[in-house]
Amino acid sequence: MTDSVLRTAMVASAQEVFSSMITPLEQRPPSDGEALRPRSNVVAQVALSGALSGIVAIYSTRVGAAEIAAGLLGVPANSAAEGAVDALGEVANMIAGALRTRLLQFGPAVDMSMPSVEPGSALFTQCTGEVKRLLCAFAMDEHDYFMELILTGA
Amino acid sequence: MRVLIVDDSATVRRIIASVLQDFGDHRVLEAAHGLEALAVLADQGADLVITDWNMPNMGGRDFLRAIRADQVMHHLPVLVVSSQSAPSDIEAAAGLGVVGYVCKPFTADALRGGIAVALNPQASGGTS
Repeated sequence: MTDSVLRTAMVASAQEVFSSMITPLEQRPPSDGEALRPRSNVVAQVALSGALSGIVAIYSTRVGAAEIAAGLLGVPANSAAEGAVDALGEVANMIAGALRTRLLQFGPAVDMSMPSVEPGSALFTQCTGEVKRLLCAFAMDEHDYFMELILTGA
Repeated sequence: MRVLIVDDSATVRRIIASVLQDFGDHRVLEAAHGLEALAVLADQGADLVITDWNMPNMGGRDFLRAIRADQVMHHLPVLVVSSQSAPSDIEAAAGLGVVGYVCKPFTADALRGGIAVALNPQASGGTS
């Protein structure tokens, strides 16, 4: 799988989730280098295993995650802060699921872990060895979101 | 009617409960995974179960197997709402007799359609 194919699948998966359940995302230019360390303080991850293994991670700020919760629940953002962490985890779960479905055209279904969410930290995965690592950037209103895909065996 | 919503995400449980309000005044019960749901069913019962597939402690597949193996609950209608939307996932759920399978992400209309099928046994057997 080329980087271009994977990036297309990542963008389509994120857009599908946000368009269906929140609001369409604005896509930002592809990111690399230092942008791979986004300034985020809530990180949701879903692990993939099987024919492909790796991680799908969604990076957000707390305020951005509250906006996602508000969009999902149809409530004002100032009343959605309590559900922000859970909402980001569920969005990561849905995006990983949508990506998993798109990857079916290249091989058997991979297994997905439950989402794990790390609030209050700048969690960042340090990769060693031969892995494929891609980062896509999005925006919703004034909030930036990043989707990262780390794969081995791709 | 008592509707048990099983999902490890409180956000999703709230979304489903909100859409359920469109179908009248149902008593909503909640559980975060299959084991907790079995305890709720044993304690309070339910007329319809809406469950996620990928959950901690006990996922949807084992939860459904437990329901189908139970002498009292084995006919309970179950609607799956899951982000696992590969054909093999849907076939596995269909093999356990679910009345519908709504794939996440879903639109409100898709979820309403799935719930409408689940609430009407005569229309059961579809996926959306």
